[in-house]
Amino acid sequence: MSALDGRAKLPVVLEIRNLSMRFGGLMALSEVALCVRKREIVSLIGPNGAGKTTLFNCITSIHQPDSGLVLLTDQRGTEHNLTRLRPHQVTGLGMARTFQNIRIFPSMTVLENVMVARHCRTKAGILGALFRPPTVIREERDIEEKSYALLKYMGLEAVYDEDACNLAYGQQRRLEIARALATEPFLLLLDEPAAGMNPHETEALRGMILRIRDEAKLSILLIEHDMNMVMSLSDHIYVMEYGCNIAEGSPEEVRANPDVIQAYLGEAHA
Amino acid sequence: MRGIVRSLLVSLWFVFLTFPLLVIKVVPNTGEVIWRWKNAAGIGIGIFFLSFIWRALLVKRGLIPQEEAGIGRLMQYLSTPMNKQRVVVACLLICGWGPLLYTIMGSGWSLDRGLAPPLQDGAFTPLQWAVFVARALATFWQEILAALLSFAAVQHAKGNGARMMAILRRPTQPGPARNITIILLFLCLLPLPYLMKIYQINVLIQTFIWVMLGLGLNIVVGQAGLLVLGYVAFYAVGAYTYALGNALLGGAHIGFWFFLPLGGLFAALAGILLSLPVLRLRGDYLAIVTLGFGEIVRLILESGSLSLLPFVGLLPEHVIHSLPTWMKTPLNFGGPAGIGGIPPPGFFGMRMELDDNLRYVYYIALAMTVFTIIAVSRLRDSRLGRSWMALREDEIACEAMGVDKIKAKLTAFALGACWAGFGGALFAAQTSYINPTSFTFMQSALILSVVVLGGLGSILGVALGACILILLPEYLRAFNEYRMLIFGISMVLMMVFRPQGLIMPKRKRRVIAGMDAVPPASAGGFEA
Ligand SMILES: Nc1ncnc2c1ncn2[C@@H]1O[C@H](COP(=O)(O)OP(=O)(O)OP(=O)(O)O)[C@@H](O)[C@H]1O
Ligand SMILES: [Mg+2]
Repeated sequence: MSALDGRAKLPVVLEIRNLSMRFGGLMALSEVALCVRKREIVSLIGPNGAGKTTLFNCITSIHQPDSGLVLLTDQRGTEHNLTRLRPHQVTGLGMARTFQNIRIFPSMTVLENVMVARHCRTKAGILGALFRPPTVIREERDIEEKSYALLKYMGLEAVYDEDACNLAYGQQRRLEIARALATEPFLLLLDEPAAGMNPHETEALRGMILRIRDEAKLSILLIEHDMNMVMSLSDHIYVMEYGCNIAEGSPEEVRANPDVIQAYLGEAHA
Repeated sequence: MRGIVRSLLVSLWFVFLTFPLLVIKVVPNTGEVIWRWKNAAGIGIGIFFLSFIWRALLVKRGLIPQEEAGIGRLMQYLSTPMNKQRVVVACLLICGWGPLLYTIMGSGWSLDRGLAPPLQDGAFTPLQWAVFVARALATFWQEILAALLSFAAVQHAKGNGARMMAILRRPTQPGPARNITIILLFLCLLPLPYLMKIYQINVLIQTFIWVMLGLGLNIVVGQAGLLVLGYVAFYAVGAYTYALGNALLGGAHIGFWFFLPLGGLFAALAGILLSLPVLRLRGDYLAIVTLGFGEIVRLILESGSLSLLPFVGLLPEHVIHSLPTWMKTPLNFGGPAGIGGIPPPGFFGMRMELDDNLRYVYYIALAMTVFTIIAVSRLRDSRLGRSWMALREDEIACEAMGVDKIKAKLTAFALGACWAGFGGALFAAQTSYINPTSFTFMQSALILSVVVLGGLGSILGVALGACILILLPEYLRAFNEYRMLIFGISMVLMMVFRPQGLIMPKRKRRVIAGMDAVPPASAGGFEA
């Protein structure tokens, strides 16, 4: 129980209460609860169709949940209810995400992909674009430098001028992370970042996620099917099935939970 | 053999299709029918040869298998560079030098084309020479173009294609080559109004206006990816702002220079007004709604007037009395007859001759086109431009990356419409008379063609597209009644063989800290 006690001391960053959402007759989420604390890596696992991605979409306001609360506490300690905000406002508050089915901007260059994400941290408007006063020129240079630095951080600097659609699969996944980081989040949501990667790449990605957490000082909420990765990275794990929470706890607890073995690991352990 | 039979059938089919148009001609007054068999023969022979080219191109693009096309022999002939070169050069020479031969045979050599060198006392001043050279270039541009193209074809056949393309691309890349090209182009455009006839100046002004319209629509369609079909409505707003504004409050001090920005402003407001209800729509649905908007605007203009009376009438009697008169008088658009008497732009109150006025409008149009090009390229490379592009690429990801979708769409609509408004005000000033026939759906479709033909999103491409679409019908006047036919065929060919438009959008190439881009394959993944 000592792990849980240690967890309770950290301040809460994201809290989800009783979140429900239905698609027509399908209850995609029912009364889901979840909590992410500062500088934690929290994983969300569950069989296909459990509603993990739908939960992400509700958190980031891409979908409007039918009921429930999504509370985000920013760096200054102010609590925001996200359920009525628009997606860009959520991003502006300091939460960024990647997508399970990669959603880079295919015909923009790699660097431009990241530069777009600086949008919510910069100001230049129509007049600024037309007249290019020194402040705007400085801002543009700043956007370019910060974006390039992030590409370097994710090991993509050599391809910065390529069209994003020409990148290899693993590179595209890393580009999505770089793009998310460019919005300066304090909470990062990763939706199956290792999907489609080979074991080598997955291993490198694991190191990268840890490094991001420690160096960028943020919390991470991770959806992943790769159990090795989940078990070795997570401080806390939530398990979902058919849109409901079925278990939570430290990796050891979850691994030992009979419900989880039944629902999820069952197939592998049978 | 099969190929020849096929081409014959195709050409017969085309002769049949165009028969009522090109062969039968009824003299309107007498009802007498003229059979123009020469035309049928021309179409037949032309299509016969064209269908070979058509199928060769289809095979080359992998759209149909070679066996099916039945052009094995032809392809074999063309497979050696030498033969290919022969064919291309022959075609080009026929096309390009045709007019020259025609002139020589028909009307005696170039004196008719106003080309006699100014022989006075046997001495030429440099200016006379310049005028002479300029006239020669302007007269023989088709032949010069054909010669250049033949040269290019020969070089291409010799395997120098890549190098040629590099040279051709250089003027579009930042650097001294581009600056020189721009200055040369500008120097060519400056004296034109003094070398050309009134009619030609008018065509050039139209071209400039269309470049502006194309670039404005390009913001909405090309950059933000919002398919708008009623764009001409904004053009109408600009034109009618000047026409009506002039009728209502025009005077010595309020003229073109006041209504030009006002036209842009009103058009931008109309753009915002339209975009509010369509923010949720995309693609086809957006296209249909904007099409409807364009038609509504045209119908309002045709119906003659717009009045607040239906609303004002609902108010109590004493309130109506205290209202200012402008709220009670309907705004008169002049109906199908339009509005005339629009004054040309003023130049510090100077009085000008009619010709000089037109030249002045030409220079204004030129300046505004330059301004437009600078403005839209700056917008494209800005934070705003990037957000439009992201919106076009993936709306959900764009929002998730912190871009306000609604604001991005509103600004795209407003700025796109704004340039149509400028263009409209300029158009009203040029023609001094406007009516609803200039603002029909045909015009909207034509502006969209300019953007699509030139290359969605490419500024250079759109400018080129406008020049081609506006100037080409003028050059095709030689074929007067068939020019729309040729125009349509070339658009179809374009869409089949180069759907991405003439010129691919160019992006700002960034050089950072001396790093050069490496292809992704060699860059390595995580393992590296
Ligand atoms: N936009 C939508 N409209 C209707 N049904 C949807 C929609 N999005 C998801 N669903 C359904 O909701 C359920 C949950 O889907 P979700 O994508 O959240 O699962 P997941 O846990 O992310 O699965 P996976 O591991 O395969 O990614 C599924 O049954 C899916 O078919
Ligand atoms: Mg999913």
